[in-house]
Amino acid sequence: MSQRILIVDDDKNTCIALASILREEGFTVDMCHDAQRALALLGAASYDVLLTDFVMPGMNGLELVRAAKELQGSLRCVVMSGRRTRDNAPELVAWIDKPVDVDQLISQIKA
Amino acid sequence: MFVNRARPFPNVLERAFSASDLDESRSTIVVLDHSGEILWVNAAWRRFAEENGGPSNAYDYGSYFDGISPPFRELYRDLFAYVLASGTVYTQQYECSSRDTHRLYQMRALPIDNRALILEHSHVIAVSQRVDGEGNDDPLEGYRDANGLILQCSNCRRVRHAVTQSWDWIAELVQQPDPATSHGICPLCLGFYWVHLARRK
Repeated sequence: MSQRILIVDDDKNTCIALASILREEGFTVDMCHDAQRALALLGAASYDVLLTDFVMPGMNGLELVRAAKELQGSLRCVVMSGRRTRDNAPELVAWIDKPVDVDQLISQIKA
Repeated sequence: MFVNRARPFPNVLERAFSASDLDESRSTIVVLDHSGEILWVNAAWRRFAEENGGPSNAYDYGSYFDGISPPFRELYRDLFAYVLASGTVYTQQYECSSRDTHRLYQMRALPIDNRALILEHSHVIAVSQRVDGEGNDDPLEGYRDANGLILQCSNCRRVRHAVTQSWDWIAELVQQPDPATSHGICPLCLGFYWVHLARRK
């Protein structure tokens, strides 16, 4: 059974591009554009990986990861960011640079 | 209203790019074949031609290099050939001022599958000049969305104007990003990304 991934990014172009790439790689993908919607989806279904943007309206990516972990403790989380500075966050599998290197992303998801 | 009817959208771009996205851009965009013949221009290109005293179909046909003065023609021919052969994106800034206004532009040359070249010319906006000229408290006000966020392309680093939706190159935001910057991807970089992903398969 394929891994189920939730992509969260306020930029629709990024969401659509990443969802298309990951579906072609055989993953099951859902997407949404803000943290509140993401938490609603995480409350309703089980996911293997949360792939989220860092800067979004309302809650940022790390805040979303912490709230998501309360709902699904085994969720593996990757935060994407175009910033150079990153917080140390042990609850993350990885930080990934934007624009996303697809091979790096897939290896992080499969790790 | 400027509508690009003179040439069909090039086949080489169809899978990855949208003609309407490129036509909505405030940057002037021209697509060349491997020899420098003009395949397509966007609405901003036509508008720029008309505003500068030329017909809107200026440069619809012929070689792009015919519009470059002879000392630089061969230089750009070699440069674009290198960009196509290497698959490398090339960027340069240049001045194109009128008598009254200092203007700085950035040109990007994006190679598409060794078959075509997209040239995009964007106005470089200096925030410090905008502050003096407009007296805004927040010189980036027009670039903030309803949540106060600035959307910056993570690839080319241009930022999207919240009202016009144009992607502008603001040097200050590259050197010192605003804390409320969200990173996405602009339509031109998204198309370029698609082409490279298709090649990855």
